[in-house]
Amino acid sequence: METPPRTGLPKPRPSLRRWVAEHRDASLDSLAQLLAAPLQNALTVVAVAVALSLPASVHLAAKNADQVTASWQRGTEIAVYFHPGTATADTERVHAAVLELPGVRTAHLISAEQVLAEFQAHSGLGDSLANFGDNPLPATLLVSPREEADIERLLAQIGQFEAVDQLAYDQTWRQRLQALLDLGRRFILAITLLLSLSAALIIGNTLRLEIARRRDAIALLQMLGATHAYARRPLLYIGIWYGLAGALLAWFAAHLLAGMLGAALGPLTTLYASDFAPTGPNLRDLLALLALGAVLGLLGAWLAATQYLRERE
Amino acid sequence: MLYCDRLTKRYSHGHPALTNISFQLSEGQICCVTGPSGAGKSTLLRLVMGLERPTAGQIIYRGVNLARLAQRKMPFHRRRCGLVAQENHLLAERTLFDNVALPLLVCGVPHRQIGRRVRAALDRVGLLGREKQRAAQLSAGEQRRASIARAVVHQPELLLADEPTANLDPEQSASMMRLLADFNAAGASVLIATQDPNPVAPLGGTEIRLAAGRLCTAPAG
Repeated sequence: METPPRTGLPKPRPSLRRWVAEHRDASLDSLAQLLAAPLQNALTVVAVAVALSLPASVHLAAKNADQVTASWQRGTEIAVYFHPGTATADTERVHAAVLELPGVRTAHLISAEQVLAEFQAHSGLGDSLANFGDNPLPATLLVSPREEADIERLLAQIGQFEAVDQLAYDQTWRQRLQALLDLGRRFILAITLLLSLSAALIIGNTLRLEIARRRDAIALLQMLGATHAYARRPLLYIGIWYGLAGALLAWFAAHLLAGMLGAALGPLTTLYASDFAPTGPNLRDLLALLALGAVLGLLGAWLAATQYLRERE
Repeated sequence: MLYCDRLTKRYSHGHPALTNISFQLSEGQICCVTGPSGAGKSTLLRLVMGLERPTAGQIIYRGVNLARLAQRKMPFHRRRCGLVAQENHLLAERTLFDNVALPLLVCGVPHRQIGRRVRAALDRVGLLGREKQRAAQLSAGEQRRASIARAVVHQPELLLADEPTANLDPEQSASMMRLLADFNAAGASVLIATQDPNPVAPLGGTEIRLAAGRLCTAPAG
């Protein structure tokens, strides 16, 4: 008979290799257990996917809204109206000076004659304007700023030119839009937090059933000297697998939704002669969703497992 | 090695399971805790194993008072012990190999050593060659022997056996006691709880007799 040493096992030293091996075993064992009962576990995965797909879809909508409003921001122009009768040389001098200002993307000068011609062509008041002796319309300079942040400064700088009569820029409308967008972002954040919490609770609740099924095994492990961390580890991995599978499914759902909306938006964008094309979830979104799913799964499982182990104490 | 000093255990309903129990177990000693059902034998083993805390008194194991040991440190004490519980506590759906390998996994023994050590333990209890059978497929006697294999596979320094011969026929019981004696001869200390009124003679150890949670006879330290 093999003679056992009197001192038993030496206290295990912390070892990275052992730690990795334990995590590898726990993760693969838990995955194998989930795959052994695919139908039973699919329901939990679908529930997690539903909870995650809503914030994912809302996030996608916000991303597209940002894209649209960004294109509006790019179209922002300050209309600079000169005093009627300002000499062409003066308007051109202001035009050149404005182009030199920092933060100006483009500046396009429309002479008083061009303004009059366009007005006559589009307003249907050509005959009435012909009754005026002089051209009552001013030359106009259309200035596109590089950034939204430059606008305030440019308005102040351009307004100082003597030849400039008025500046037009619809700031109020833009601020309202910005406020609405900010509100939308906060709403999305709140929805995401609530639904993420529900995903974590779904996983935690499922884990409670799993813990009840494994009650004897957990008690046995603890009797044999398993630490809480050791007994908890397989459960944490089950939670992570649920979260990852749910996130993957939610990503596919968001992709499907984006495809359906894109098809529906096609005729609308054509009618408005817009080049806007909705974007679906990309690889970065997938990675973010997987990370969120894994964290929520871990959180739900940790809560359920820790509560059970503390109750056992 | 083990010293229990005025050990008392009362459960929440107030019933005293153990009252003022003091005894000592030396290195390599075999000791039987005897007494009728309800005498407190299992409670004593559970206290020594660290599965429960005493209401009063001390359990000094290798200089450490288990009654005050932090909960997070208790698993490391349990790893130095092997327990053959009254119920076998085998995982029915797992194989015999998986069941016996559990203490080694918990202790972090490298995978390359586990197979060899599990087979050695199964050989010792006469179950070598049955590794792939599920625990549920084993007979009651085989399950008991599997439970012993699991208790000794990690070569504990203290083996606790709670009614190890329960539900076994006389031949199996004698075989079981021989196994425990062999393990003791190999150097481990052994504490056995049994209702057998005369268990010590074949084992050559000492005896503590309990009745209604009180000590009747204590072994000479």
